[in-house]
Amino acid sequence: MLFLLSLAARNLVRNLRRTVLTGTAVVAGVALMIFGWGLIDGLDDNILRAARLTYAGDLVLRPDGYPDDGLRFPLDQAAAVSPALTAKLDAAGPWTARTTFPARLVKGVDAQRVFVVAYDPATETRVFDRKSWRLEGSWPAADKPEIVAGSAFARLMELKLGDEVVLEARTRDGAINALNYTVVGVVRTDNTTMDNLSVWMEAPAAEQLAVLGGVRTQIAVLPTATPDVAKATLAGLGWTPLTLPEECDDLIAMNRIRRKSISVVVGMIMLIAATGIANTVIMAAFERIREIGTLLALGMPRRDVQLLFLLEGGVMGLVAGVFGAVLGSSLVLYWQANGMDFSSIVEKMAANMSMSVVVYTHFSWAPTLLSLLFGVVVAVLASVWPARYASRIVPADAVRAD
Amino acid sequence: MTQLFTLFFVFVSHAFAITVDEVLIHVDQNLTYETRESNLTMTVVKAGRTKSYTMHSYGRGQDEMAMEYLSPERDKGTKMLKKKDELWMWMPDIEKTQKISGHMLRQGLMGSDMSYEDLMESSSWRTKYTGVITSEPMLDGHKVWAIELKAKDSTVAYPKRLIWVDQTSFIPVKQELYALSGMLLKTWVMTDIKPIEGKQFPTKMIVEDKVQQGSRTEITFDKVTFKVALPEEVFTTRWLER
Amino acid sequence: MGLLVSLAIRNLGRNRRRTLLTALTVALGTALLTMALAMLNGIFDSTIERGAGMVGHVRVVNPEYARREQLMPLSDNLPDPAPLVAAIQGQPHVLGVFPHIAMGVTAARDDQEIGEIFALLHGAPAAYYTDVLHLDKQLAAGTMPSTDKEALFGIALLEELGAKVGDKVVLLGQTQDGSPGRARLEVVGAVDLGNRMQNRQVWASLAKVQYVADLDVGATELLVQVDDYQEARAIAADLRQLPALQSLDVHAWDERAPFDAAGALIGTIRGIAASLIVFITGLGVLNTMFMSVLERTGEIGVMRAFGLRRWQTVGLFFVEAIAIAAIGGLAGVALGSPVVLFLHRVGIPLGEGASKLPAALPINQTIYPVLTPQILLTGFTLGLTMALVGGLLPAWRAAGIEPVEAMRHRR
Repeated sequence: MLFLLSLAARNLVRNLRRTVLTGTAVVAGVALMIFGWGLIDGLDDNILRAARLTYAGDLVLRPDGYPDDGLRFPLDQAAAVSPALTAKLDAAGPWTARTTFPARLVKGVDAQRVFVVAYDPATETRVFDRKSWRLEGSWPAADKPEIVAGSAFARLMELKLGDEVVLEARTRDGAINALNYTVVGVVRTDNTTMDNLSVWMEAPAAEQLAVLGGVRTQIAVLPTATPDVAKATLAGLGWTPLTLPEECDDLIAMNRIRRKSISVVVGMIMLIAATGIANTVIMAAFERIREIGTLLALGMPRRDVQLLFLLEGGVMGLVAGVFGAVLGSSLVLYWQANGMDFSSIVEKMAANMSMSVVVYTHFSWAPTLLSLLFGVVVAVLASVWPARYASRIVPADAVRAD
Repeated sequence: MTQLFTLFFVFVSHAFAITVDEVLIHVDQNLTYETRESNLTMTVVKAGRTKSYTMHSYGRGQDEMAMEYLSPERDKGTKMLKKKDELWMWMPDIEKTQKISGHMLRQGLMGSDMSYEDLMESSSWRTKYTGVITSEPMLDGHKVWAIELKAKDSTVAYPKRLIWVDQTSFIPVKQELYALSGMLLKTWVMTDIKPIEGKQFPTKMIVEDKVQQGSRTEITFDKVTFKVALPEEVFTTRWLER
Repeated sequence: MGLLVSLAIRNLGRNRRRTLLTALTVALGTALLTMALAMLNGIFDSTIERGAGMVGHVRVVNPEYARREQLMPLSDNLPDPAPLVAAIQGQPHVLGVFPHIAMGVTAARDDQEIGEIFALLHGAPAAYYTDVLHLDKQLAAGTMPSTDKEALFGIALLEELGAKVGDKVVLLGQTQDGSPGRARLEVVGAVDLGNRMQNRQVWASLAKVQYVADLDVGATELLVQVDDYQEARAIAADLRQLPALQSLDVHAWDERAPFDAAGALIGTIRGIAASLIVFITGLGVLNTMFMSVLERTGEIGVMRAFGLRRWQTVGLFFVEAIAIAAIGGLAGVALGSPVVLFLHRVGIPLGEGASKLPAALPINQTIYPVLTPQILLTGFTLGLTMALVGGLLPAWRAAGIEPVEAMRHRR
């Protein structure tokens, strides 16, 4: 067996050109498969991304009973973050609490309902690095009556930096309060609700407007442990935790179809790749009829000849497959970190860009190893036919053949 | 709206200084058996557009009010019933009585600057505010008390009110409603005071939003009668469906 | 030349296995390419087509409405759409013109308090719901409405209301003046569009919503359906010339959000996907051709030894390659097309239950691969090109080797 293996390896090296040729098909096929799956897995990520980067982190908590439909933010159902909960949160990882509540923004003759997103300036950036947000202007200064408006909202109300507006809101107890604010920034977060309906201010300023009494409406955590584990530790303290996928289950369900569609396409690509691999392997094998005849004439058992071919197919498939896997994985990993940025293409077409378009892939071992396996298996299987054919040749014919 | 339907006016001699409480009593005070019926027109001005409604209403005490829209054609037959803290609406076109709840109560009645909530302020100012008379100026040729009212607790919608109460008629001819921060939110002005069955009654009210420019509601009373015989069951949901 | 051709043909016949194998590769590759591209088309096209239909291939609105469309301002409406509809109806490419109103309402089941639950109410002619939105195909329960008192409700909304088919629901909205617009509708059908947002809508008759919104005979949008939605921009440009539409905002679906951006993105993604498919197919064909020629280095040497000129040798392979590519390509197209056409009739089912339509980019639950002449051409051309490249390159190199050397290269 070992002898055959070394013979197989030497055969492959001996005719490098042929090996490389067949190998290319395997490399390309495997790489493409891995990339395709990386894209599919990345789709879910992309869906979750907006939520993670703008309000949910990897674990989001809301007061028990608080609506999570994203349309209502009733202040009377907000709750305080108890010391017990704070301790548990500190142990879980970086976290930040926000208070979102409804208000009316008035600028001259125009008035519009908004949601005020009040954040804690000290902890906000521990969870939301804001790298993917686009800010025009600046964030509110501490102790100043300043707000930042969502990009689409600003466009709607024709808000510009420096505009003076009035925010009218109900305090937690129900009294009406109204204060003047200056718009110091416009931010695009790619979260539709926030960009269309929200203004941002620091928690102390919100305290002044809505007399919150320190209550919060949501907590976002980036747990160091896995989200499910963290979720268990944080449950039962008056706040309901949800992992990111649970929070976005609606969107993910929606995405399932898209995943399937793309899977079909990737499946086709795999089929095509398999065909390519098979063909080249078969051709390569048939090319060596004389060689086979020689081996048989020299007394090598037919079964060994068969095995030899299979081994060649296997070794070539494995080596080329690994190359392909490395290539494919590198692409996936690169684009997992950086994302394919289609923004420039998109911006050329749309005057009013309301979304940035960066597509991320997602690397996982399962599809990578499976694709590699697939490549090897196809290469081996493709060698089966020529191997059997080869083993049935009459040496004399083989030597005679061209 | 309490002011509208619950005013009971007593002629009081001003021989001695009066306390805020007493003023408010008179402003607030309502003959519990007092019933009234009125026809009114409401005009809403918002964002440059004007719309007028005419209504007919019955009232009893501070807690009960039944109103029916007479025009425009589209809203004719719509009825509203207020009892204490609850509000129902009858919509003839869909033959349905629906109880109004939630944040809808904070919206303006028919889009006006008067919210359902303002309508439903059934407790008196006395229980909600403490006040002090700051001066006794002249306003439009009448002597008034200028009173500053501060809310007693944090649940009162308007934490501060400035009211100017006419010393003769005890009508709050002008009000300024303030937010917690002290920003002026709305003004209520009552004018065209006419004597009706021996009482002074403001036949015109103007509510103006002071935060959003160009937003205003005017109410004119075309006819007011007191001590009327109310139709049966008028303050029940059955009346709505009649 | 004739000699070359006959020689080529005989060569092909002589080593039938090799010819067949090579041709098979080309055929298979082409067939798969055809199917894959058709599948891509099916996926993207149905997505886009559905979305375009939903926002209107061409939309006519009041310019102020366009500016503030997030708010769906009822006040910026088209008070008298009838003459506009008439003007547009007869235009070339126009299949239908539908007045449409969308407004936010609060809903409650009969006898429940109203004010807490919100929904989006649509008013449009019944034909719009069946012909453009295909709601009749997405009913989770019940039937399509037939009177003004009936409507379709999204299942998420019904769930929140605690209502089901047969119940009556009261809707309360605000007209442009702020007065209450209301309706009491019977739930005759429950619609499932796949996600919660989309399922919080109500679809009622145009007349009913005109009443609720106090728009008399007006509407907020005119949605124009055209025969070829991909030509919408050109059609919109033409419609803009109509005197009746002079002061109005007339734009095609791909000129408006979200498609203006999404369109470019989708086009790019589709292009990349197609390129990848083409690449991998091409590679397979190339490899095969390469190999089959390489294998015959010795043969080339012999021919050269016999006096065949270099260009003639290459020419020989050229003819062979063309022949194989042509046969293989045609076979591939012949193989792939019926499969695609069959799948187009039948559809490739993907979904579980009803179809799912994300916010603005809906995707069908079944894929209907779309075969276009471009795809056929692409497949055929690709096969040909790859075969040629794969065949000529090694042939050229082989022909350059000294005949003796070449013959020695035999395996």
